[in-house]
Amino acid sequence: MSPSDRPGVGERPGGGWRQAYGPGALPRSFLAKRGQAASTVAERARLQGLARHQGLLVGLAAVVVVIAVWQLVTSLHVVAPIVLPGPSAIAVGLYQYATSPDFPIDLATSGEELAIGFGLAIVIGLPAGILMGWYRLVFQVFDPFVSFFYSTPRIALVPLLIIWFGIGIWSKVAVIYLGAFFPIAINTLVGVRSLDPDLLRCARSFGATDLQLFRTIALPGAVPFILTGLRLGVGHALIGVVVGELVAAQHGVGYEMNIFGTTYQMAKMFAALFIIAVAGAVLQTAFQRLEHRFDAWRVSAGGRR
Amino acid sequence: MIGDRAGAQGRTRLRASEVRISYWQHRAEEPFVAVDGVSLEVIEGEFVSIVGPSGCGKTTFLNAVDGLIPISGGSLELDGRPVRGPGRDRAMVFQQPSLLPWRSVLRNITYGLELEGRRSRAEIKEAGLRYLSLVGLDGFANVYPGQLSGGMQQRVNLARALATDPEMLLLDEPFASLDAQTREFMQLELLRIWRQSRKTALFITHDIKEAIYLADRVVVFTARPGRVKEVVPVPLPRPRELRVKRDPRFIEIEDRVWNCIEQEAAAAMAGGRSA
Ligand SMILES: Nc1ncnc2c1ncn2[C@@H]1O[C@H](COP(=O)(O)OP(=O)(O)O)[C@@H](O)[C@H]1O
Ligand SMILES: [Mg+2]
Repeated sequence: MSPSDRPGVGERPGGGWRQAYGPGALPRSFLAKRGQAASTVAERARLQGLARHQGLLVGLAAVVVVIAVWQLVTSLHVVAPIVLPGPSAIAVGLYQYATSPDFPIDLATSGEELAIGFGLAIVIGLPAGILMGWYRLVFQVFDPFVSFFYSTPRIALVPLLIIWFGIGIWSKVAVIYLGAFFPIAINTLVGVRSLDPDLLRCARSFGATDLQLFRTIALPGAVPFILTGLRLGVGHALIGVVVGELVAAQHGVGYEMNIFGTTYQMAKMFAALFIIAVAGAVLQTAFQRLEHRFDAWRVSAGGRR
Repeated sequence: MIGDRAGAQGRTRLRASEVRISYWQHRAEEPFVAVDGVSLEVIEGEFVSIVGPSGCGKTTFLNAVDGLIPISGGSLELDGRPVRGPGRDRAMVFQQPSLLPWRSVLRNITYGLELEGRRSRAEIKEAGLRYLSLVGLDGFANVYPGQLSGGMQQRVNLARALATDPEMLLLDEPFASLDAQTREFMQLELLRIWRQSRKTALFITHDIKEAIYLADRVVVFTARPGRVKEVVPVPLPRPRELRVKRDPRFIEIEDRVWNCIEQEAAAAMAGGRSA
């Protein structure tokens, strides 16, 4: 969709000074209006619904096909189970792992690490991003550090963090926090900074104070950026859980996955991987939902972005 | 009969004399002079239109009257006091609707009132609904701006400015992006609202017919740097119907404004070539 097709963003009719004043100048926005009427709101909603369902069906079919081929390949012993266990073997492994006494402890440990690490990243990352976005001085002070840490592969710090925080949950919390903090803080910072100049001028014209400007223009404008930051952050947090536990831990799904791998219990290893993947998918979907909710006004503004 | 305000001897609301406005350009030695030597007086309750070639400094001048940008020479006074910044006595209707997309229509209209923070929530809402109704958008209170047509968005833009009950309305080509029919309808509406509220209005437009139809006086700016080239009075009776645009007296005024502008347009083009 070109910008001029959207309602209300129609540009002034083009052409020079003379043409705009001439009697025959036909406003282009008048023409744009008509094309737009062709796709009614109901029509658009119906097409979008159809597309969504179609996506789901195609995706489901693809998954079924892949699982079937995978099962076939392993049943015919084309590859050894030690290299790649089949789906049915993994299902059995999943059942065994899920009913073992370790499982609830692992789940609780990984869940706790994730909750604390990601929670801290939000509680510290959001205000940090806001302050850096709003106050130039704060940005200038912290920018070198943020840039440095953001461009370093933070995974490399895991051994160091384990020395500092031990092999209990706190080294993992630190890894997760470092993973999630940067996407949250940086997206928030960018969101707060990206002020729409038209809205800024309007607020100033109505005599807005700096605080009002922040509250009514900068912060609401930053919400989509912040939500994107949270969604990216949760992905990084999950990587942190697995990597942190792989290196050194006592409990946790990632830790168990490592044990299963090194003791050649491949079906169980894949089962643990599956659990982590499902957790990731669930969290991503939850944050996507949240984004759509907050974007209600944006979605309704004539089409998707 | 003579237009009921053209000859009215009210108080002077706005007095601009020899106003000069320049922009500091990045990496340039000299400031860029957008407006140079604008002198103009606007009487209380008067409707004044400003026309002039694109880029002659109309928006710049209006922004200075609103207090958004400082002047670099001359003097600019409202009710005898120099303009120092934005104030409650003025409200701007921007060329772009500039609505807050995440606020409902009603909460956009009450935006200025909320910033003032002088009235209770209930009072603000009530005022918002009143102005919503005034611009003919009853039933759209809880709709987001993105769901409105361009014309409706501009009505919200207008209602937002009116809601703070300013003494002076500043309008920067508010109808420029609307189609011909909507624009005429909005002109009619604006005159109706202006007659009821008796506010002083400074209206910038690209459209000569619109300028004449609305105003008590039409001010023609020169090509950049903008100055007042001529002030054309519009002694047509009010209330004015859209029909008046075909009146011979109207056409006579239109010719006069058109001639002024043609000279300036030619000057602007020549300036553009030599620059
Ligand atoms: N913020 C700015 N900085 C520098 N130059 C500007 C700025 N705003 C406008 N100008 C210049 O000032 C002149 C007048 O602009 P403007 O007041 O917008 O004209 P108009 O509204 O009459 O079309 C133009 O040449 C424009 O390029
Ligand atoms: Mg302009």
